[in-house]
Amino acid sequence: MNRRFSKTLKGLKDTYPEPKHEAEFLQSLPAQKKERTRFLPFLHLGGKPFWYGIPAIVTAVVLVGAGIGVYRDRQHLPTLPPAESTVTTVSTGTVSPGSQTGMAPGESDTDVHGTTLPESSTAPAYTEPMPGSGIPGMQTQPALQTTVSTQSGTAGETQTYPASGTQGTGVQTHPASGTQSTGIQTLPPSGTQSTGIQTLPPSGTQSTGVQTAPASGTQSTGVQTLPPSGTEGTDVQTEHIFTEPTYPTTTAAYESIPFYPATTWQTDVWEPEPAETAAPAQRPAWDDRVTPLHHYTVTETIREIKKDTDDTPPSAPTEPDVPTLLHNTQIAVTARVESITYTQVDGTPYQQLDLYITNEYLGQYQQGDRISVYERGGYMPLTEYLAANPEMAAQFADLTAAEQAVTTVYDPPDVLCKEGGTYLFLLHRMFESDVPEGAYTGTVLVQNGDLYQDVLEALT
Amino acid sequence: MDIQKYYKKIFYFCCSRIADPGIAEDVTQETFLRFLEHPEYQDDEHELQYLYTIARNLCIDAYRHEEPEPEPEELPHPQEEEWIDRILLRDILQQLPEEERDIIVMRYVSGLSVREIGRIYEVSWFSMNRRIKRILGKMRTAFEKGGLE
Repeated sequence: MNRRFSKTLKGLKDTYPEPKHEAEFLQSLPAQKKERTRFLPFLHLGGKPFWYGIPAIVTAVVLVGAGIGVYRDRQHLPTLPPAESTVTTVSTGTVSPGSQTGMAPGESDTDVHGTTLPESSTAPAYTEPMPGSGIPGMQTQPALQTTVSTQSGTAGETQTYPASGTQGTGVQTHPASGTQSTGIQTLPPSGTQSTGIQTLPPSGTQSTGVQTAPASGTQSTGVQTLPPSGTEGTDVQTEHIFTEPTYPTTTAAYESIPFYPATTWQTDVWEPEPAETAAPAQRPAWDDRVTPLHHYTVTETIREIKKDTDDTPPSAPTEPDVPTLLHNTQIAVTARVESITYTQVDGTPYQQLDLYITNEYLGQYQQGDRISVYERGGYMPLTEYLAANPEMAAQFADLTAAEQAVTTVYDPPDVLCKEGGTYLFLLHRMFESDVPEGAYTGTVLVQNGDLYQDVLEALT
Repeated sequence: MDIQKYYKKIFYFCCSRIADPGIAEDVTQETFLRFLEHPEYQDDEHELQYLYTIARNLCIDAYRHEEPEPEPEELPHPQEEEWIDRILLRDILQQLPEEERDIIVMRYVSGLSVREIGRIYEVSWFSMNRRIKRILGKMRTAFEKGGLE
């Protein structure tokens, strides 16, 4: 009678007439109503009128405005000048006065880093001979707070940061005849006026460039002193490379400037290091496990479900062959069962196997990924089972209500998986509405079976 | 909103409440038109709930204005036992309380999933599943007895 009722229930739909004007109605609908088109930024409106999104727009405008305000307020913070890396190439040749844009000592130039600035009204730069020979010298005005550091890769360059609010002239270099000097960079802070100096050594000397890199909002004047006429000079070409400013960590007043022979100057020119060859990216392990909708624990009293013989097909199910098994397989992996959760799908006991993939043969997963697989069979409270399957009540008629409340039914799965065991899984997505999205189901093969080897050979 | 997908579902629902298939189809079309006229209904999560609510209200209106003697439904003449069972089941269905009838029609005629029906009635899947099983049990008992008492 149960089967007759079920069959009639399935045919109930046939007692209802078919609609006659469906196609006409669908065609008569305005095109824009059939398929809602949504402007991308207003996807969240879900088809609601535009004014539903006004609070979101106002919030966005306020946030953007606040962001701009914060960005502007940032100027009151102590600003450091941009760090400058200097690449200097030195070539020896005869330099005649006037052939190079430069001025005599005391004169000033307004061209700083390609930007024309007004002439500095600060103290003029000057050069002063330094007593002694063979030792590079540096003299700093007392008002200056000087940081001297030697950058690796650049020969003998120094950076000087005048104290804020001071008016400085940067660094004065005094190379004596026959000496070698180093490059000095003077980087004034914001709000100060400074003078950049580039001094070329006297005749017969080898020298380096002295550069001044002004910070934003400062005035800076570049001064270049040329060697006397007819002497063997040095043509200094400077290329400025600005990078993000870095805060100084050393504030020593003086630090000895290392001596670099001219022969090593050329080799110390900074060159960008070749980018490392990127290793093939190994993606992080995916964790696609799902949370079951039901989680059952097994009570002491267990009753196995006896399958209704009327529902079973007349012949025993034959073992599927390898092509059939692989036909619907999206993912083929060997995996270790990390945990088993007893749950149910549409009133049928199921168990969720959380897997740790140890080897992959087919699909997007790889070793180390985790997925969840639903396998039919498992444990389920008898009361819930009977609520979902009242036609099975006859099997448990011998139990009182109190006994039923503490009884668990057991539906043996096709393959009895154990936690910690490794099996071959041939899986596809499970799209039942009562199963968490992302779960898989399929065939489980134990390692010692004949089919296991055949499938493995087919996969590999 | 895929109207084509839901057209028959709503139509069957209306047929379960209105004897005349022509009026049921009119109500079905009116349901969709009203749904489309109100963009606030077009919420992906609740659109099915809105659709059935509109259809239910329109069916009530149509029932009030229905002719006192509706035309008999044009169904295949039951020559076979199977059809007799179906007509019996249909009668049992019509005698069920309104909400129970709607649930069974949604599940077994319109083909909605238990989860979708649960969403329409704002109950959990499990609760709705139990409810469906309970209604089916009642129908099965009536079916074995040849009709509801």
